[in-house]
Amino acid sequence: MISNMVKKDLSKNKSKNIIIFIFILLSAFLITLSANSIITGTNIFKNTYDSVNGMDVMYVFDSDNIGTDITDFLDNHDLVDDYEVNMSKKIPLVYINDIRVSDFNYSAIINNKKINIMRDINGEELILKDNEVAISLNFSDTEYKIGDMLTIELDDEKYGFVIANIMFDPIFQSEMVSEKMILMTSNSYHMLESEREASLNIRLNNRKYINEFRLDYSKQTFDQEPIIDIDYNMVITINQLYNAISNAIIILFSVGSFLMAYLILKFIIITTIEDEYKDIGILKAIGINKKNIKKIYMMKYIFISLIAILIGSILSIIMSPYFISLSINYSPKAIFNFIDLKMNVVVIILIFVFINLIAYLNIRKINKVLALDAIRYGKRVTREKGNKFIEVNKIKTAYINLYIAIKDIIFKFKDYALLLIVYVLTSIMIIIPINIKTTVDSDKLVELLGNIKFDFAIGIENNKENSDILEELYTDDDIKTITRRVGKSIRISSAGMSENLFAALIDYNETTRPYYLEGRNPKNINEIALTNVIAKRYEKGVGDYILVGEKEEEYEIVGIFQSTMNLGKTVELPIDDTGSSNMLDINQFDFITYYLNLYDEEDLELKYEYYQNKYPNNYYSLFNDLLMQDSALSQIKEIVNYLVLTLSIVSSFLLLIITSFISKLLVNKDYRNVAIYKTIGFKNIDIKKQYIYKILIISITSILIGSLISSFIGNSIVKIIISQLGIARFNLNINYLVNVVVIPIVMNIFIIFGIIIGYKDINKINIRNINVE
Amino acid sequence: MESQEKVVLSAHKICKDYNGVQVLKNINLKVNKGDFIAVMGPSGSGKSTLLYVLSALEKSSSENVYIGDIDITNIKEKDIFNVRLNKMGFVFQQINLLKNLNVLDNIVLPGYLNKTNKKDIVNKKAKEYLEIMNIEKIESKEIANISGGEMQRVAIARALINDPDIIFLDEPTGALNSNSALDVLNILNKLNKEGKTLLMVTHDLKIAARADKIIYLTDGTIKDTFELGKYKSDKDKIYREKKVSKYLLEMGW
Repeated sequence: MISNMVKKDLSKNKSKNIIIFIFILLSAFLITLSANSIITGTNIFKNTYDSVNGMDVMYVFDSDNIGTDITDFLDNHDLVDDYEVNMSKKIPLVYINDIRVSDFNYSAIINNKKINIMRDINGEELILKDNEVAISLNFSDTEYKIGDMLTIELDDEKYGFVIANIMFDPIFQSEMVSEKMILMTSNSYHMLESEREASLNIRLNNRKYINEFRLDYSKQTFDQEPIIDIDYNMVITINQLYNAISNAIIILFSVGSFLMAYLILKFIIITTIEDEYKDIGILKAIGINKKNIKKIYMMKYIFISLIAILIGSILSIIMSPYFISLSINYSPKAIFNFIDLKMNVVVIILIFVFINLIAYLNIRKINKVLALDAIRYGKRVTREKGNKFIEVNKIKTAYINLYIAIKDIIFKFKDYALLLIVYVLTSIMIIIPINIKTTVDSDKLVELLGNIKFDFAIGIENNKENSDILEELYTDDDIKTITRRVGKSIRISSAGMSENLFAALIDYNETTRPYYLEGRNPKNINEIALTNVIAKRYEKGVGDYILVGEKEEEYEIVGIFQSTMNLGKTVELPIDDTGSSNMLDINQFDFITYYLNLYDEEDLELKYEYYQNKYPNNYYSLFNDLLMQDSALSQIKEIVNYLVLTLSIVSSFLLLIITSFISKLLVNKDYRNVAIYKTIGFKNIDIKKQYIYKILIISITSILIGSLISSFIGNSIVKIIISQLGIARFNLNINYLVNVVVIPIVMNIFIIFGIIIGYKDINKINIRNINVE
Repeated sequence: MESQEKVVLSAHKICKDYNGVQVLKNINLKVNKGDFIAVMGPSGSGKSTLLYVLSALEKSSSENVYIGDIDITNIKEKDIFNVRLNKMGFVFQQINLLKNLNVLDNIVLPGYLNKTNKKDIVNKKAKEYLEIMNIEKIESKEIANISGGEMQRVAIARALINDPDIIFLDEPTGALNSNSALDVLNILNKLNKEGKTLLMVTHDLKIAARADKIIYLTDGTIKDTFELGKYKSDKDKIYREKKVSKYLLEMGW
C-alpha cells in the first residue's frame, strides 16, 4: 500500500519532486566534483607521480658527473631505496616553427630508466625516433601541436626535430617552474654539444623521512655542491598552490548549492505537509499510525535523493577527470584510473545521509497534524495575527499593488524568507567567483602570488660600454622605477642543516615587494628575506637569524614572502653598491637585469621598441616573457575563467528555475487571496504586478545583502579557503560597479523571467474554487 | 411592461455543462433594479452554477447575459474585471476577506481600484457602510480579530463600495450562527429597501423568505418562480416563512 501511495505522490507533486531532484542532483554533482578535485586531484598528482617513479629528493650539479663520495654515501644510506644519475644539456635557444620561444632554461634530456621516468600524458611509455622530441604541455607560451618543428640552436648550429609527443613531466609539469625539458633519443642527445648538468634523483624507503635524509646529506662534506635541490614536498606544495584558486571557487559553489538544496527541501516538505494536511489527518483518523505516514513521505525522499545523488555523483565522477586535467597536465583518460572510488562512495553515502536526515527532521512535523482539524477544516487551525503596517487608506491609490506586495511580504515573511536566503546565497555564489576572476585577470594576481610585477626588463652587460643606455634609462621621464636584479646560488644553513638556494639580489631602494607575509624587504647588508617554504623548513620567523654564504655570516631575517618561482626555493638579499660585502657586491656580476615600471602602461610597446631599436645588443624582454609570471598564471586564468563562466551560467539557470518554482508555489499557496483579488475587481495584470513587486523587493534586498557580504566578508571567506589551500595571502580585487549594479541587474533579469514562467497559474485560478470548499 | 432602465440583469438561454453533463439548460432570467431574488433548489440543481455564470465567474454557452447593457457572455477576460469592479458585488458563504488587511482597508480596496473614484469619497462611503453595518467600532481591527458575523458584514460593505448594479450572494449566512445570520439578513433587507438589487442562492427557507421572489431550480432548469412581495417588517416574517415552506413542499423540496 505504501509503495502505491508513494507512486501516486510522485506523479501528483511532479513539479515539487522535480525541483528537489534537480537541487539534490546538483549538490551531489558539485560536492563530488569538489571532493574529487581536492582529494582525488591531490591523490592523482601523487599517484601519477608514483607511476613515473618520481624522485623524493633531487640534487642538481653544475658538472659532468657525480663523485663517488656521493654515490658511496647513497649506497650505504639506510633511508635510500634507489637513485639514478641523469645528465642534461643546457639549451639556450629554442624555436618552434621558426618562432623563438621564451627565454626559459631549457634542457635536453634522455629518458630516465629508473626514477622520474617521463611518460606521455596518457601515462604510456614514450617511444621516440632520432628526429623526434617530446615536450611538456606548458613548454612555452607559443602555441604548438604534435607534428610541429622544434629547432635547437647551439653555437650557430641548428638541429631540427619533430614534436612527436607531449610528456607528463612529474616535477616540472607546473608552469611555475622555470626549467623546461626537451626529451630526445640518446643519439640525438649525444649530437648536441653544450654545457652539462647532472641531476641526482633519489627515492627513499619512506617519504616521511625526506627532511631527515636532507639533514643527513647536508651534514656531509662532499667535493661537489649542488646548485639546487628539490624534494617531493615542495612539488606537492606548489601543485596545491596552483589549484587553490579553482578549488576555492568550486568549494564555495558546492557549499552554496548544498545549502540551497537544504532550504528548498525543507520548504517543500513544510508546504507539502500544509497542502496535504487534510489527507494526512484522514490517514490518522482511519487509524494509520504516524510512523507509517512518515514512512510514506520518507520513502519518497529516499527514492528521489537516491536517484538524484547517484546520477549527480556518477556524472561528476565521469566529468571530474576532465576538470582535473585542466590543472594537472595528464589526460582525463589516464586520470580516470586514479579516481578514488572508495572516497566517492563515502561522499555519496554522506550526502545521502545528510539529505535524508534533513528530510526526516522536517517530516516529523507530521506528528503535529491534528486529525480533527484536518477533517473539520482541511487545514491546521491557527490564529493568524495581523500586523500594524501603514493602512491602505493612508497611501496613494496609485501604489496599491506595491503596498499589497510589501504588506504581504511582512505578513507572510516566513514564506519569503526562503527566497531571500536563496537569493543571498546565489548572489554570493555569483559575485565571489566573479571577484576571484577579476582578481585573477588583474595584474594584482602576480603580486598576490608573491611575485613582483614589472613592465619590461633589459639585460645589460655590466661594463662601461653600456653607460649610454644606463644614462638614458635613468633620465627617461616615462620610467617610474628601475630595479636592478641579479641572481646567484647562495648557501644558507642553520642548526646543522644547509642547502644552496636561488638568491635574488634586488635593489630595493626603488621598489618594494607589495605583499610580504611578514616583515619587509631586505634593504641593508646582513638582512635577508625567505620564502614561507624555506622559513617553514628551517622553522624561522622574522627577527630570527640564519647563516648565509660559505663564510656562514649571520643575517637577520627581516621578511617572509611567498614566491612561486623555483618551487619557493628562493631568498632575497639587497644589492650592495658599496663593495662592503663580497657576496652582495653588484660589481661581481657580468650581467644585470634592469626591471622597469612605466608611469603609463600604454607607452609600454613603444618604449620597449624604442630601446630595442636604439640599443640592439642588449637582451630585452617584456615582463611576461622574462619572468613568465603571466605565462605561469595563464593556466590558472584559463581554469578560473572557464569555471566562473560555467558556474555563472549554472547560477543563472538556478535563479530562473528557483524563481519560477517558488513563484508558482507562492501563487498556489496564495490562491485564496488571488481569487479574492479577482472577485473584488483586481485584474490579472494587477495581481501579477504584485508578485513581480514582491519578488523584486526580495531579490533586490537579498542581492544587495549578497553583494555586500561578497564585497566585505567575501574577501575573508576566500582568504580562509585559499589560505587552507596553499596561498598564504590573497586579496580580492573588487569592482563595486560590477558587484552592486551590473550583477544585480543581470540577476534580476533572470528573476523576472522566472516570475513570468512561475505566475502563469494566476490566470487559471478560479474564484469558484474557493467557494466550493 | 417594465422600462429598459430598470433591467439590471437579463439572461437568455443560459447553458452550462461540465464534461458533457448539462448543469444548466436554456435558462432565461431577468432581474430588475431593486429586486431581491432568492434562487433555491435541491442539491445539484445548478443554483451556484447559475450564480457563477450570471456573474461571469464561469464561462458558459449561453446566448447572452447582460449586466445593464454589457453582454458578459463573450466579454474579453481583461474587460470582465471592470464589470466585476463597477457593476457587481459578491458575498460568499466562505468569508473571503483579505487577512493581511484590516477591516477598513478590506472595504475601501475595490473603491480605490476604480480610477474614477476619489479617495476621500471612497473613505467617506466606507465609513457610512461601517455605520450601516454597525461595525464602525472595529474599522481598525485586523480580520483575524473579529467574529464571523462581523466578517460577513465587512464583506457586504466591501461588495457595496462601488455602488454595483447587482450584488450576488451565495449562501451568505451559511457559515454564521443564528444571531449573526439574523443581523446579516436584516442588513440585506435594509439595503434592498434602499434600492439595492440582490440575487441570492440559498437552501434555507427562512432566508429565502426575506426575498421578493423565489426562483426554483431543478435539474438545471427553472421549474417555477414564486412571488413573495417586498419584506416590509419582522411582523411578516412567520407568515412569509410559512408561505415559503408550503411552496417548497409543493415543489417537492
